[in-house]
Amino acid sequence: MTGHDRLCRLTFIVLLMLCCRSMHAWTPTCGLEPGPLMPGPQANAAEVSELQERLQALGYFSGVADGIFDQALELAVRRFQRDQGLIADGIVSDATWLALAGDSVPAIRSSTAKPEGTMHLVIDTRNLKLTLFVDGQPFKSYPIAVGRQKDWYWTPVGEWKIVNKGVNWGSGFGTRWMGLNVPWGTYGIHGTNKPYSIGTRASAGCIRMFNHDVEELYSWLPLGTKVIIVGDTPPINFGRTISLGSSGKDVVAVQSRLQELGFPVGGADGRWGPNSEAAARSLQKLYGLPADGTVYTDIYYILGLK
Amino acid sequence: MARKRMSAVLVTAASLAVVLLLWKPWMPRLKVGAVRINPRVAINENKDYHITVWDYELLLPWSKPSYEEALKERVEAFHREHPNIIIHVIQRPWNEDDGPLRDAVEQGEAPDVVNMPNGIGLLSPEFQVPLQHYLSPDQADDLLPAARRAATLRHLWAFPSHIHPARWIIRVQDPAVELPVARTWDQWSEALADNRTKSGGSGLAVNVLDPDFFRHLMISATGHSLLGDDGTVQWTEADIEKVAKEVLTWVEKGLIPADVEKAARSRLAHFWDGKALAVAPTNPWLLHHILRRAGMLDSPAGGSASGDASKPLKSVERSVYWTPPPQIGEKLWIAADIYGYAVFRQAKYKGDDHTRAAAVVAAYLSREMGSWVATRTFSVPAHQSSLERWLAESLLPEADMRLLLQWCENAVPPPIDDRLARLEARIMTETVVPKLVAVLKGEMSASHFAREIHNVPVSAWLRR
Repeated sequence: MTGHDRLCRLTFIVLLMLCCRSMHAWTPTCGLEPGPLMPGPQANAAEVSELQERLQALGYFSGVADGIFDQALELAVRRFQRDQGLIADGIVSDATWLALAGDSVPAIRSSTAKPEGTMHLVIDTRNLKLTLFVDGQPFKSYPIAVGRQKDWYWTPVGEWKIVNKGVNWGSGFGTRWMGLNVPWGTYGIHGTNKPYSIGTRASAGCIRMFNHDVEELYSWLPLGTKVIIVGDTPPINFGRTISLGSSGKDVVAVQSRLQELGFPVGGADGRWGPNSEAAARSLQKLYGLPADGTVYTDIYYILGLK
Repeated sequence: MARKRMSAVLVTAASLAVVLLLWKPWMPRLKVGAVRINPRVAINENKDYHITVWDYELLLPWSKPSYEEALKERVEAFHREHPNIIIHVIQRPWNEDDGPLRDAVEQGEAPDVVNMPNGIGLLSPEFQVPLQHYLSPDQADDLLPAARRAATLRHLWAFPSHIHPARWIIRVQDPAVELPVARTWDQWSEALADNRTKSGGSGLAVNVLDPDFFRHLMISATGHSLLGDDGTVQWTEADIEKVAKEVLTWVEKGLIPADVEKAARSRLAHFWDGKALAVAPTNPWLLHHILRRAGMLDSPAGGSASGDASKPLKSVERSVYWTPPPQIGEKLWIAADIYGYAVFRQAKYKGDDHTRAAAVVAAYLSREMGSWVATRTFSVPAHQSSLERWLAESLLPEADMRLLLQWCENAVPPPIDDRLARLEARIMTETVVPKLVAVLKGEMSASHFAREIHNVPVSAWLRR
């Protein structure tokens, strides 16, 4: 890596983290490197919950997985660390996560030759499955972990693109990271240091894969690859007027319904742009409503969202 | 001498007979631009006719099969019956304006048959073929009188397919006694005021920005569309002022919200929240939304488009009815859009037999697709022979559909001359609506509004 590359990467990470920090104030995101998990109230609740669940599974913790890193949990961590021959400091760093993972990575790895053709991903959050499509045909499926479906930890349903890629962003993200252009937070497809969580709803919204799986996809997928995430969404309060420049989960829902009804928006990407405006205008004309391309109260009714 | 005279008479008679035989004055001749067409000419069974049909996609998200599939099915059925008439359907997008069609017509390259996208109209006497001579007496009698009237301006300019009359939606308090009858202005005002007292909301959820709102009321008051077939304004100043003042009274009494722009965007919210008694105006898509949400289309008793015989809904299930806009004139005149299929000749004329084949196709599609569309868009098919099937397949109880049929007897369509119909639509959108909004906001008097609309310079608009 040249000095210039390193500088670029560093700048990008700093900007991303600054961005994430500012966004964190209103909605947590998955794409934050939490660093070592320390006991106390400042500990990332999602990470703590995962830790609690893992220690429960391993027989070290019998409390409730409530996301609070209290003394009981700290003691459980220390016990586990001692048994594993680690420094029993109660701080969950990379070494502890690795030990927690144990042998949860499948022994058999199936690697495939790179496919030729136009690729896109469909992530099914109900069935916890990521499928690679090549020229519109399913090519290969992978098990994943997705968001917890509570509070802010829902995996963002919609039609996204891979907008950045990175290697070894921190152990929390495993060996590879592919960031998505979700407008309300930092989400991506990444590897993990918690392979036992694959096949569950455990993340803070990102899509987790086994490291060897994400490495395979990483090598195949270019920037700009379409990623369609389908599945359940958190309850959304439909009420505001959506107009050019609006973004959010409600925008995704409106765009998806417009598409279902035959008004193409060019992808439910959560951003209300000219294509969405044109689609709304068509719907409005068809139903005899004021045709201004915005989403107002009656449009929510017509779309069945209210 | 006598023999000579006799032979002269015989020669003259023979010549006359030859001329008559060639000229055939007893046969009707249609002058379509530079071409004279004999509509009685027979189709040659040993010749293939390729008929191009422009058909505009009808977006009905609730319909299975889709419009396109239904059309395909009917075209295939036609081919089985007429193997030598081959239909080539060119499906135009539903939201395409009529610009490409008018361009094609003006250039003499119109398709043979067109499903008129904005309702029946006369686009070009130069290329559009009058169709009355292509109807047998039985076929002519089969057309609903209102549909036939709407397609006729001296000649029949299209085979009508279906009629869509204007309707408002009203919630009824006691379905057992309140039938979906026509109401006068006073009855409407009373019902709206009563609802306002009970709910505290405004009685009517109205989209004043939709030109149809005022058009429906004016047609109800006068029995005429804005422009007559001669291009004159048919609404008198007194009529316009009267209707505008009535609407203003509703605003003043709080039966229509004063903020008409906001109200136009929250009609359904007010209606479903119980704050509004009625919704106006509606179209087939909005009607479908409201009826379905009211549970009337999902109920097994509500029938289905797939052919189940419909039974009347139990009165207790009914909460929503359609009804005509207020009856303002002495008769129940009702604004309506009437659709149909027109036949065009091309600059390079393809022959009388080709035109006849096109007319056969247009007549067939108007009957078959008209019935199919009418069932799914709460409209009335233009053919009496389709009514039985339409009633049986209807999504709503037969009584509702029969009322619709009755209302259609006095249907008032826009002008048939396409130039005037387009001009009327422009005047309504660009002049009437903004000025009506100004009246309702108190920025213009009703009399000033009436004067401006009545005196709209039609010829100047036509030149624009």
